[in-house]
Parts: sequence; structure tokens; C-alpha cells
Amino acid sequence: MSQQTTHATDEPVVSLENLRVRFEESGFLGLTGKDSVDAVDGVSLDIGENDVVALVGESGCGKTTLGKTAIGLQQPTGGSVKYRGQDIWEAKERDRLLSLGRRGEDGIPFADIRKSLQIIHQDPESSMNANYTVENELEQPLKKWQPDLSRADRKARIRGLLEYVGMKPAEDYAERYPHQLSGGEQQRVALIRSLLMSPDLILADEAISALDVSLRVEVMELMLDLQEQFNTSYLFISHDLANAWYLAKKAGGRIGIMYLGELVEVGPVEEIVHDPQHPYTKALLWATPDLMSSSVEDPPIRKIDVPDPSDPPSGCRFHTRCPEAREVCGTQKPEQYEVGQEHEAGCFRVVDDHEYWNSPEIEDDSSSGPGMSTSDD
Amino acid sequence: MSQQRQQHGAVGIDDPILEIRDASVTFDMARGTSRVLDNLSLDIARDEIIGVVGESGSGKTMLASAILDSVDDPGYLEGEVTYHPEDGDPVDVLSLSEEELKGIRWEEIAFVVQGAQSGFNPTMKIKDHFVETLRTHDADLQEGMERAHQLLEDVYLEPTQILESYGHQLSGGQKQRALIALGLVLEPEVVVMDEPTSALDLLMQRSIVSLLADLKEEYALTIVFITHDLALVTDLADRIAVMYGFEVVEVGPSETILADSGHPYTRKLLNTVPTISADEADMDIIEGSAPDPVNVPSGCTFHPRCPLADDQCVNIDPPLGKVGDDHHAACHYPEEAREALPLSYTEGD
Repeated sequence: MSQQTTHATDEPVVSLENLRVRFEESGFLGLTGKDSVDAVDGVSLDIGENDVVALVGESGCGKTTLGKTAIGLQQPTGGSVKYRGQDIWEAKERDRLLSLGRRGEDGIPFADIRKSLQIIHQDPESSMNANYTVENELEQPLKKWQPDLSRADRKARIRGLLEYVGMKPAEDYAERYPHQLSGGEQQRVALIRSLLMSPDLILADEAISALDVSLRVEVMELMLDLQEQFNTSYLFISHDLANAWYLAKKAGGRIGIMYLGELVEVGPVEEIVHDPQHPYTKALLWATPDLMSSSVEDPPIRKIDVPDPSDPPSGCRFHTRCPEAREVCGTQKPEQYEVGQEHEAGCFRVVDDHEYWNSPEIEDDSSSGPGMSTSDD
Repeated sequence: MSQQRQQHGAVGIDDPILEIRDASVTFDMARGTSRVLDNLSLDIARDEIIGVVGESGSGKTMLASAILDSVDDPGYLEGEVTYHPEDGDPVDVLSLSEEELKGIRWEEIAFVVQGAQSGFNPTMKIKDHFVETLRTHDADLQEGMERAHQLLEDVYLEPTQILESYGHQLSGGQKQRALIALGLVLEPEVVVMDEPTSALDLLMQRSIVSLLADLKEEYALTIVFITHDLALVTDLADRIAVMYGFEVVEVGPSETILADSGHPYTRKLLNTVPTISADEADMDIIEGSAPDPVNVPSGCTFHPRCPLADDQCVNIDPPLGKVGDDHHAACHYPEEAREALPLSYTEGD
């Protein structure tokens, strides 16, 4: 029986297909001409209803660009991003033509799409109006999207939510300005504000990274709690696999691992953590501090530094650092291979009969990285 | 029970390289005196790696400044810091003149800051920073630069290329490793590192941590690793000192702290660490917030957030008492804490 890949929901909330985002940059002092960086290079990913996907990768891997593209804040240069089957950027173009009086096809208006796809940032204060009290800040989305609500109802709703997220007494917090709130409190307000739009998906871009360790759990718990209340999906972006694990595990979601613009592995939390397939996923797991297994081993990578994203390695982009790399990895690009239910990995090693297995190992030069200083052994 | 030293909260360490006694730092502020280091005593053993762990506002960075007598004005530092060179007489650090301090800083006790924060002068090549450091301390330039090359290689940097670069041309991880190499160029005995990896990606963080373990062996260093990240440092450190409310509340060997900590704050902090190898995603929350330095709680500073607190905790500040081998905690109820606050990651089979 041939089984086709099906996702949890028939129609994803957001669907990314072969997504590509290329940034053109002028070179250093204009000397080297124009450089381009493929911040996101050929990523496909579906996010369903009430879904949680945690994207993990090192800085510069393109996870934030991917996130912003998924919620329509960044236009892709290739591939497509769809909201409930509607191409987001076609919707924008169609609405533009409509506003000029031309007729277009029916579809979901761009403004509705933008409302349904919200973001909370690492630095919530920067997204708030410094001259607004918490109450003013939270009134805005309600006024816009629920204009029928009376002033008293709005107030009651806001107070109720503040209390719900633990900002008590709510009357006191409602009157405060952003700078009078702690980082954790600001993030709560940002979360409430985006939820008041009744979004289908919230992009949480390093939303807890700036918080103290003990506060992170609190905010993640709140996110999970509010997800149930509001039926929202999260695209949670973090450089920290442990936090991604916590949120995605509690929500029964997936973890996606990005490296140099590519999604190298994506799958259910348990499989990613206990049965990782991609050597890069394994390296990230090694790097994640764990109180249960302590050992200062050498890193499972051949080079400590990430290559220049504007000039990514040929073939598999991880091959220059990969401890398992063979010559074929430098010349051929792995596809995303299905390795389990909703679990894909982009590594030849998951393919039993791949020519990788007969390819010679890559010989490194000098002591260019960890694990390479063999002189004392 | 440890004897006379207990009142200082000092842990009897053989052959300490640094002794910090009753160190306090105060700032006069409009709303009162702000006490950001509170009678802190700590011994640092020769050739050990000690992890100083605390959340923001615990006073851990102030401890680093106190060790080097570099508390910024108008901060006022009291207490004693004694440096014991391998050979020679003990040095009373806080009584040294600026000129004498120069002979200690960098040459004996180096300080490595977060690369993202300050690090390198943007108008100077990395090489110039090494040269300047060597010159300022009247070190032999040629020998020094040879050491610089070796150190840069030790931290997996390509020496000739890095030395000709400017700070902005390096990635965060490269910058941090170059700063570590710079910190070691005058062959210090002690290296104090304040959040040396926290701005970096996990893979780079952990790579640097395993690098430090190698460097420590190679150069016989004593490392004081200050961080908010308990999980990161437990692998690396021989001992851990946990700071809360501007003082050390627990200190002991890393394995002991992990397996059998006696302070409720440490136990709760350990339970806030996500443990991805665990079956269940259970993480604790520490209710409440860190103490206000102008209005430090009476008695035990942790009592407003402690589930075990009673009248004694509200009224009497517990000294660092012995709770195990080389293991001290400032709590009236260490046994009860162990009972009442199980460590989530050691539970189950």
C-alpha cells in the first residue's frame, strides 16, 4: 500500500512551498561588488491549526527570515507562502488592483491575512508605544477589530486578560507605561495584544530569549495556556533547543532545524531529541546543556565557525563541519528524505543504498577545528 | 562543623589562590543605600574552575569587579581580597595603589568580558590590541606575539588572518575567542570571565566551554566563570557558588550541587533548567522577583520566595553552614529543603 504524506489538518493555516528569500547586499566598502545571501533557500513547511512548530538554528541560519516570510512580513523571492490556500502576495496584489477599481478574483483580503498572522518580538518594549499605557496599547486592536464593543466592555476585557496572565492588580498594571514593566510583563502584554486580534498563527521570534531562565518557563507556560484558550498556532523561533523542546513537547508539536537557509530536519519532538537523523541536529543536541548527562567532550563538528552565508558550501551545506562528511557530500545536494511520520531529514546517511556509503571520507587539513588536534593521542 | 571560618561563610579550602572576605559594595542613592554585594566571603582554590551562578541582579558581576578592585565610582567597596601567588607573599589587593594594581591585573588576574559588549577598539587591528597589552605591561614583544599566535591557534583561530582583522570583521564567536586569547597573553594565574558565552549560539557556547577545559589544563589556570546559566557551567566547573541577594547562598563541588544541593533557591533554580533527555517536560517556576538592593529582605534574603520560610527565616540571616563534604549552604533548613523540593531530573528511574 502506498501511503501519501498527510498532515494533521487537511488545509494548513500556513503553507510554505520551496520558499526562497534572497537579499542583495553591497559588498564590503563596495569593493567586492554585490553579494547576495540566500537567507532562506528552498524550504517547504506546513503549519496546521492549533499546531506548534519550533524552529531552531544558529544565528544567521535564516530562521527569523523564514518566520517573517511565513506571516507575510517579508516577501519571498521564490516559491510561495499561502494562508489557507490563498497565496499571500497574490492577495496583496489583487487588493491593490481592486483599490484601483479593477476587478480581481475572489479570495481572502490581504488585511485579514495580516490580522490572522501576528508576531511577538524578542524585545517587546520596542514594539510598544512608549506614550501609551498598557490599557491604551491593548485598546487599539479591540477598537479596530471589535468596534461594537463598548468602552466599559473593552476595559473589562482588558482587565480580565491582565488578571488572567497574572498581572494583578489589573487596575494598577493597566495604568502603567512600558518602561514601568519588567521584561516578562512586557512580553505578556505583547502576547495579549497579538491574541486580541484572534490570530491563527503567532510568530514568536526569540520571544523568551532575553528573559531570565526562571522567567522563560513562566512565559512559555502562559503561551501554552493561551493557545488552548484562543486556538492559536505558534511558530516559535529560538536558538535554544531546550526551550524549543519544552514548548513543542508540551504542545505535541514539531521541531525544525535550520542551517544556512535550509531546513535540514523536521519532525516530532521525541524523534528529534531521541532519534535525530541529521548530524547537525546531533551537534545541536550535544551543545544543549543537560543536567542529566554531564561530560565535556569534544564538539561533534569538524569546524567551530559557521561558513559565510553569502558563499555557502557546495553540496550539503553542512559538509564542511560535519563529522560524517564524505566526498559526495561536497558535490551533491541531499533532498529532504522521509524518515518517519512527519519526520524528514536532509542527509544521505538516511538512505541505505546511497552512493555516500561508498564515497571516501573527507580529509581535513591542519588543526582547523575541534576534535582535530590529535597530536597528543 | 567548620569552625571559626563559618561566621565569614568562608569555605575552608586548602591552598586558596584568592580569598574574598566580607566584601560589600554600596552605592548611595536618593532612596537609600544600595547594597549590591553583601558581606560576601569566598575562597577560590588554585587551579580550579569555579562557576559563579546567579540571575540578573544577584550581584555576580559586582563580585568580579570586587576581585579586581575595579568597582566603578560612586560604588564603595569594603572587605578584603587576598591574592596568594604561587611563590611569594600574599597580596592585599584592595590596599594596592593604581600602579601596583596594574601589576596584578592582566599579569596575575585577567578579566575576560563578553565579546559583544566591549571587546575591541574599532579603529585598531586585533594585532594592535595584543601589542598594546604587551607594551603596557612591559612584556617582551616578540615572545608575547609568539604566545599570541599559539593562543589563537588554541582557540581554533587562524592567527595571521585574525591578527590583521578589525573587531567588526569577526563573528561573535571569533571575537569572544580572540578576547580569551588576549586575556591569556600575559600568562595570568587567574582568569575571571563574566558571561563569556551568553551572547553566543549554543553550539559556539558549548564549544568554547570545552575549549576552556583544554586551556585550563594546558596553562594551569584558575578560572572564575560567572554566568546566569547553571546548566552550562555544571559540566565545566569543579565547584559551583550560587549567588542570590548579593551573597553566596551555596557553594560546593558541582556533582554535589547537582545531586544534593541544600539551599531551596539552588534546588528551585536547578528545576527551572529544561532537561531534554527527560521523559517529561517539567520545569519549575520561581515565584516572585529578585530582591531590591535598597530594600533587602530581613533574615534570609530568599525568604519571601521560599516555600519553607518561617519566623526564623524572616528574622535571622542564616550563615553558610556545612551541609556535606566541602559543601556549604546558607539555609536554616537544608534537610527539609531536600525533602520538600525534589530535583525533577533525578526523580524516577
